[in-house]
Amino acid sequence: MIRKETEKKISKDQAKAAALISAIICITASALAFTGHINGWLGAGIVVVAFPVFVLSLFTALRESTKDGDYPFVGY
Amino acid sequence: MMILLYIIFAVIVGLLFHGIHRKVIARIQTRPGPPIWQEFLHVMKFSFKQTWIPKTASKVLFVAIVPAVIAIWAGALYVLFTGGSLLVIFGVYLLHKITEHGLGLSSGSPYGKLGAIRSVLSAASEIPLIASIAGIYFVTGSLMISDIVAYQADHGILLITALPIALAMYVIILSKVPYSPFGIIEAKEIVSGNKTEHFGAFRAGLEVGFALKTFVLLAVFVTLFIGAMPFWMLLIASLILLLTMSFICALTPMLSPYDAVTIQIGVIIIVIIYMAFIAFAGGMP
Repeated sequence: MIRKETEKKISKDQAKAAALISAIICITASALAFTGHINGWLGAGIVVVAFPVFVLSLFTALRESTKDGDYPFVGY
Repeated sequence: MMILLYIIFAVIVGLLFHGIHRKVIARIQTRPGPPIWQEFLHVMKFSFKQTWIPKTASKVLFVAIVPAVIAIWAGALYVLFTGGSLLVIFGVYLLHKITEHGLGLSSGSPYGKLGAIRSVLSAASEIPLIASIAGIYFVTGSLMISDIVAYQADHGILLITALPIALAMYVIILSKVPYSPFGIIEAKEIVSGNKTEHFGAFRAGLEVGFALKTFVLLAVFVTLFIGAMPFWMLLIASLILLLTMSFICALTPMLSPYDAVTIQIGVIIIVIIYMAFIAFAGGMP
């Protein structure tokens, strides 16, 4: 029951979307800092905030399927 | 600098270092041990497993502590590579202690709470860190990592000229590597200590954060006490440093909390005697 309640709050699709958005933020901030368009510390600050979100949301998106699996064959 | 690439690289190397650490410990103990990529498999395994929050947990803290661990060490990595202030690294280390407490206390599990309480007890490990940082300032006259590296280029490496300070820092890092004799917060008698209830995606995130932590601490030691070097040499030096710790971890049993604190206080006494010697001798030998 607890599991279902938790899974209702964050679906796999939401986690995938969060992972994608945070990855884009990380790459953009890092690239802008590298090319000198924004201050290095600002770029690092954005990456430091967005990277953990990316990691957690990616791992949440990878989690096991929420669909019922096949029933194991238990013999006749 | 592509900070993101450095963070991802540090995570990969940190996980690999953890795997090598486990392998070396196992071989010393005449066990086959896991493959060195075992920690990658661990992260994958945890991320595919079920993720939930215990009913007894403080939900916000339980979840937020995981990104906090990753974020603080990612920040420390940036400070290290830009030659920033050693005080920031010290601050990150203190924040890490807070996350250790938070990890255990947020779950509501008795094992987690015991791990958190032991984390408070092992706060004595900050004493050698303070002694080490004070000693570095005393010797080099600066707390900027870039200045400390420049000092070593002129006066020789601190590992030789300031050995007791390096010893203090070594004990700090040793207390933070997995399977350490000082690792009382996650001893087996309290299951996984403060990490007990964090599993699934949360544990996978923690493993990433701890891999970053190991990489940063080893790189900080090499930079502070050996000086500037090419990146590939930094990796090799960090690995050698880790291997020395693997030997200690393999050959030393887990200390009791009080013994761990006593040894850490012993280290600070050595550093204080050393600094007093320098002060009376009128400068560095």
